[in-house]
Amino acid sequence: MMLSVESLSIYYGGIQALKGVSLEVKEREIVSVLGANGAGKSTLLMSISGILPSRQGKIMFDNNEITRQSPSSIVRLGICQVPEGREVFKSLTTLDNLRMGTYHHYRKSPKSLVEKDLERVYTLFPILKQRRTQMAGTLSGGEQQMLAIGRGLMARPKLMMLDEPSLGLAPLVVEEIFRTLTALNSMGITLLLIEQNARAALKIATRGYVMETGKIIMEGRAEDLLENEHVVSAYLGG
Amino acid sequence: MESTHLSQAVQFIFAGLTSGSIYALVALGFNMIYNVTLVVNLAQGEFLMLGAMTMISLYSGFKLPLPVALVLSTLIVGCVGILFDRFAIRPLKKPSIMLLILLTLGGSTFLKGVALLIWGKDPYTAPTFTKLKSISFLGASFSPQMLWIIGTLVVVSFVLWFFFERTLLGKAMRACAENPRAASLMGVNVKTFVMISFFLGGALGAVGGMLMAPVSFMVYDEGTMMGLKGFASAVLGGIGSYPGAVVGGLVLGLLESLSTGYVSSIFKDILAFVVLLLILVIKPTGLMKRSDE
Ligand SMILES: Nc1ncnc2c1ncn2[C@@H]1O[C@H](COP(=O)(O)OP(=O)(O)OP(=O)(O)O)[C@@H](O)[C@H]1O
Ligand SMILES: [Mg+2]
Repeated sequence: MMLSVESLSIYYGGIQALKGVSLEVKEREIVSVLGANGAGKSTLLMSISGILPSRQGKIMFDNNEITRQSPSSIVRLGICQVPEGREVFKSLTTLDNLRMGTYHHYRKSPKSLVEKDLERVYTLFPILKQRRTQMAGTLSGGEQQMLAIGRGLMARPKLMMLDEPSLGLAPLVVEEIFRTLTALNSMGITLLLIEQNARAALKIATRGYVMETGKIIMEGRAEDLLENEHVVSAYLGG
Repeated sequence: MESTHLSQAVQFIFAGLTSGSIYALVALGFNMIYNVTLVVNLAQGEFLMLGAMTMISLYSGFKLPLPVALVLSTLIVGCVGILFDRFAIRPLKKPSIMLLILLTLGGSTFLKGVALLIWGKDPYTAPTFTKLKSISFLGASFSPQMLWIIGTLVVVSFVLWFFFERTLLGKAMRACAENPRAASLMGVNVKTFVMISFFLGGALGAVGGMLMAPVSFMVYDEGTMMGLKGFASAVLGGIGSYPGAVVGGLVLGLLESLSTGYVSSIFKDILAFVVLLLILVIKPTGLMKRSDE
């Protein structure tokens, strides 16, 4: 097991946002988490990343317990999050944003290797190469999402967690993002994908979880979920 | 007649640039802390006073060589900055802007009190860094300390520019300032950068104070006015902007010295308030727009 989350509970003040969530991701999988607004999906990713301290539960990654580790040591272990709403550094250039992805390893990495990583990102998203000297704040929504994914990739993650990467993007761009995710997976990167675009997410996923009001209410193979009555009526608009 | 006019103007301008450089250093310290933490540190002037007093004690009291006294004081006040963050700012569970301002105000009073206990109410001064008597230029004459002051501002500006524009560490610090959570997700330890910013804020204040000590008298409460002028400079240049801090400081210094020279010295200390109010009314973003806006 690459990532395992065991009965995780998270509170915001007195409000419980996660109520004993358990979830597993195996190496090389694409695991998708579906759920309506406010279900607790972002909360889940933020606590795995160590941004929200968890009061109860246990998170294991690659045989390390990361429940109470700092965000920076979690990134160093190989988990990188592409957060909801891109959160690129608007006042830095595209290239500098990509370089920020290398922050946790640039002192130890040979320059040529970093250049290679950069080429990999540019191959996936050629537009970023054209925009490399442009301030990230002036990029379009789609370009910012590509940049956020590229920045995550520069961190050389084993597990990449993406929080609604298709949010607010035009259908063509969404398609491109999903194609890229498949490409990342075939490069050997494991993906934990949060999506409201349930159909597209389940199409590329190996397995899926359904979250409602802070609980996992269903899990299964992606193709089974695509045919599940509840999933179809609640998330696939059928 | 012509030449005395000229030399008088030159004298005023250089005097303005000299005090302006000190204001600029205080303003840079303000921005250093503000950019990373959004804390408007009203104790910035006290860092300046502490830098000067510590340096004078180490040099005249403990008889340390000047360069050692300078470096040590910078480090000591930098550490005061870190302690300030650690014990005043960080313990706050839910920091609100108002609470933070009150806290730094309290911190400033506390530091003044400590200085009063250590150094009393006596004014102190320090010898100039170089032994030269004075320098003549276009009929005006200057203390050699002026070259140290302006030169230091130039060097500090260059170092800061290099750090923030050319190193990943500097960019990480900018990233922290803009979006601390996204920066943490990239593995940046935001708390460390907050600490660094308070260290640098303290150190920059100290540098200003040490440079100023030989050309003026330093008293335990000297920091208040300097802090205010540094703050006015930072706002004038656009709070958060490093080039703005330099421009704002120099402009305020020049305005002060020219108005004192040509009009009346009663303007000297109220000018900073006037500038502060005017800029807040007319152009709250300051003279220099930040590149990221
Ligand atoms: N910082 C916060 N303080 C208090 N409550 C919060 C905070 N962040 C989230 N919540 C609450 O926790 C619950 C889960 O929020 P979360 O952002 O994890 O949902 P989500 O599934 O990501 O929703 P969306 O699809 O809209 O992004 C919500 O009820 C939300 O109001
Ligand atoms: Mg969310």
